[in-house]
Amino acid sequence: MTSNEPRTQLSGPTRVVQNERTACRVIGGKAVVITIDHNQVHVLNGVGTRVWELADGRPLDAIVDAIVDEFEVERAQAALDVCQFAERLVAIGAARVEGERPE
Amino acid sequence: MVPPPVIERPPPRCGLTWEWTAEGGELVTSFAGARVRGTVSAFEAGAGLTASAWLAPDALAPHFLLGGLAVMLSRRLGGAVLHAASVELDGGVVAFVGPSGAGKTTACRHMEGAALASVDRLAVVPLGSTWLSHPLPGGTRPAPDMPNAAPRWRPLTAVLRVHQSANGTGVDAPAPALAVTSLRESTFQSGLGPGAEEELLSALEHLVQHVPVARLELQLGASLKPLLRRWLESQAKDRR
Repeated sequence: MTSNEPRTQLSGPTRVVQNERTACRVIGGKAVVITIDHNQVHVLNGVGTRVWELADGRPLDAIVDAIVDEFEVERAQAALDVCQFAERLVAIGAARVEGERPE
Repeated sequence: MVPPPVIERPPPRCGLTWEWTAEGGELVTSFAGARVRGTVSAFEAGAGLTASAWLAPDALAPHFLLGGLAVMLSRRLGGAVLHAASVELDGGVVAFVGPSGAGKTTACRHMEGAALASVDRLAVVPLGSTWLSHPLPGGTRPAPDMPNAAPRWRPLTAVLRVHQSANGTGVDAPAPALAVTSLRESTFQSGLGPGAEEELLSALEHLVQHVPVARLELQLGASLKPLLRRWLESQAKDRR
């Protein structure tokens, strides 16, 4: 990997789970996610909604497998995208890495 | 190629800061230094509401208590209180929402001759497949010369999220998820648990299904009333 390639902090074996302090409703195929403690509203696109739905504590690798099965995307690209997206979910407080204490 | 997963809409830079919680029948609201605590002792259909409260020695305290009660009652009826300036139009109410500074009151001033329904807060509740609205006290009148609409229940005709524009005036209906998001960001309620938040989202989704909710790009000086009438007619045809 060169220094110009995108990197992620999370990797395939990492387990990410939805934060209990969120509320969600899928409307027209898009998840509206409220992070209760931050009082913020987020809207996920279709693929992001699927990743969110699958974030039940399974490894990110398993989520990538599902995304590759359900969408037209190369596995390497999907792995990078899913890990980066999972990091965003964790950063905004919508999800947490399993084993780490919630905020 | 499928697009990567993204958060389509980042959190807004500004939003409502109303703090309100209601747990076990107790209601506490604090805002701008005022702190109010009240206990709701009875609420049954037809029996009305009895509330007792310990008020801060502050002239604004009753105002905040009533605001909190209105929020709770609206939720009990399956609705919400919107941070909205609104006008009466053809027997219904058009509500303009958005954070402070978005242009809600400016939009009201662009509705030539329309009577002002609410300045700052509008209770909205469902009645079957329609939604009703009622203005609540609060806010500063945007223009003393605007006529007032009598404060009573009227059908909610549309909700428009206002954005000021330098490139013309137009109305555009967003995807339902974004419409619900606009409403949630303009709803006077915070401090809910996950279950109550999901109930509120469900109520707002119902509103979006039955009332046109759109994005309004407003250029100063535009003639808004005829534009909205045309858009509402097209919406009514589409929904039929």
